[in-house]
Amino acid sequence: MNNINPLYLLLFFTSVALFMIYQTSNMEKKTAYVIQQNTTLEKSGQYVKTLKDRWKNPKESQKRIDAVLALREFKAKVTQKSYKKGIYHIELKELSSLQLDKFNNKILNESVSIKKMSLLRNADKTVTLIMEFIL
Amino acid sequence: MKFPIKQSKKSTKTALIFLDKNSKAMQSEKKVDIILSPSLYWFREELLPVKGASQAKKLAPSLFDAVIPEGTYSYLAQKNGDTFWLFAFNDAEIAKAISNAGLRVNQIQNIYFAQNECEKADKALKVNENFALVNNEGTISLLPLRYIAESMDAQTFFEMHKRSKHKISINLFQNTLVDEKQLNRLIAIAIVFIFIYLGAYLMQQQQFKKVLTQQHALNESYQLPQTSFQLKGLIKALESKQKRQLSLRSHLKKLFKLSLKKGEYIKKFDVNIKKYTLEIVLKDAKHAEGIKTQLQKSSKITSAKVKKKIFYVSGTYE
Repeated sequence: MNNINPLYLLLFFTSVALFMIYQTSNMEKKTAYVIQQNTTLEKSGQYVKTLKDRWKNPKESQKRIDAVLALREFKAKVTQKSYKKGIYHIELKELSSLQLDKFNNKILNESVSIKKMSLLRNADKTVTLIMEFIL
Repeated sequence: MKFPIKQSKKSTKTALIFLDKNSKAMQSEKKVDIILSPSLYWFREELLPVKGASQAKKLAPSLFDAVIPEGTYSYLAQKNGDTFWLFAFNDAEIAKAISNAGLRVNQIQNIYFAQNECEKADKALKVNENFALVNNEGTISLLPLRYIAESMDAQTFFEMHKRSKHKISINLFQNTLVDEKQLNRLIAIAIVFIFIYLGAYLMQQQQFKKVLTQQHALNESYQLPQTSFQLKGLIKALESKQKRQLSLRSHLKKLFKLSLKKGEYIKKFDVNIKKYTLEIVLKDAKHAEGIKTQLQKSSKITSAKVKKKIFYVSGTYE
């Protein structure tokens, strides 16, 4: 007789059912883990985006610097603006001490990477300001 | 009642057993074919107004109803010329006889009725010292040997003749702890669970693929590196850059707020992230020390000298 003992059948199907339960639970855990990873990734992604926008966004950085230079009180003082190998070079001449204070307040509050800042007091008490930014 | 285990002609690995209600226990590991004694089934030959064996089988319970003792029976019908051979047998009783004979269910290859296997016998077939199978007008029955004048060895007869095509299917698992209906119910429940969890698994798999796609999309949209190690490195580099820039702004503010006396001023000023150089015009050369002290609070002075009331000082940020 090639009959199969129903107990063996029950054992087989129960094993398959248990296997399926295990696999489903395993897949559930894996999915939950990836969802958690995605949440962390989203937060990290937004943080990286903010940091990059502030310090590693050449176009935006140049726009921010140019916007300050384009202000009415500084526009006439700008004598040089140049870009070379990732460095944005600017020069402002004949700034009064008040103008210098205002310019510093503006530029130091912008999210731009400053590489260097030089000041030279002229004989007429005005100031020549040279700055380099990393773009 | 049984034959000693002998190899059948059909297969060298298969033994042939004549199984009776009173068969005694034996020791064998071989596969066996069983021929059921007439004591283990009821037989009737009937002329029935039906065409096929399956229809005849439906009529069998009512035909045996008044003949056989009360109990749970399985029925079988075979077409034999114009008539039908009808069998009734008790699965549990046969299973018990098999168990009493010391046989395991998985040893049993095929089961036959003596009715089918002895049809061609023209003499009585001696099955042991006391009994023989006789063909009584087409019905095989078991009779005491003392009533029989001439007989031949049943073993020899079975070896000489091939088995019939009428194998019987019997539920032999009568001795399990739970009955077959309960087992089938449990199997059905297990299968239902399999399907439920298979469905759940497939849905979960889809969900898993979806969140993986989301992860990929997040990496793409934020242009993040592939590994978390690289991501940590990127964040660290950006944070470090931010820290340097904020620190530079803090140093610049301190330099612009240097406490100078009236008439003193910064003539020249060079600052980058790491170091600074200042030229401060003084009214009094002694004030250089005060300025130096102020600068030392946030930097390390690398050189400081006063020449013609100009204080040349440079330093580095720690």
